[in-house]
Amino acid sequence: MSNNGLNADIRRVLGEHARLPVDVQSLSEEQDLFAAGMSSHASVNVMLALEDTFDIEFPDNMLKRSVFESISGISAAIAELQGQPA
Amino acid sequence: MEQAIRGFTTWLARRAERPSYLNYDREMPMYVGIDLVCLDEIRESLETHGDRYLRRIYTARERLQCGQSVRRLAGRFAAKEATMKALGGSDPQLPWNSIEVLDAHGGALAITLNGAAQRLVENRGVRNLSVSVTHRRSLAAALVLAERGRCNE
Repeated sequence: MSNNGLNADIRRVLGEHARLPVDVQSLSEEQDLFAAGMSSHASVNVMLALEDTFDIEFPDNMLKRSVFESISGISAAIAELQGQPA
Repeated sequence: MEQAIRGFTTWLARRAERPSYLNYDREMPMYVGIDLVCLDEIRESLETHGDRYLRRIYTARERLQCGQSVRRLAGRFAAKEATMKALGGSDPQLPWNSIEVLDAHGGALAITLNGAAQRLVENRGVRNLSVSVTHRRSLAAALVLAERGRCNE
């Protein structure tokens, strides 16, 4: 999957589960999602929805704020789990 | 107690001079963490992800004590997040189920740690964790106090 396609899917998941008070399309890939309004519990729903979407499972060592704090961070983690370069 | 207050005052004065609150101050005698959870978010997680959600976040004992109670699950999630904040700012890198929040005497809750959380507490020199949880119709909040040093030795 191309990086653009991956990020588009990540934005879709964020739009459905992150409960952001802003339009996810307006966020840059590096922008802090928690600073944009995502709660820690919403990040759990995002994590589970990403697992469903990409057929992956985040190991415990990836279940941390830094992985889910930006689109680029999520993208890198998914690429790693899929064995692809970020 | 006086020593603890002096230490806290000194820590506050030093912290005010620093650019980020995320730096963990090893001289601080106690740390505090707080978190607030919307019950709607817990309900949505249960409806959308069911047992997979429960198993990723809660230990077997927590699941046994909470069942499907959104209120109880929310209180425990808030307590886990408050514990993480008390132990190291925004990213102590702890799996949620390494912090276990269980029923204690008299309706209180108590925190038990395992794995990465236990190692972090030992590294921080934290000797005691106290938690208080409160609920309203749509919200659950938790406050955690982490005490360092010899207070409980």
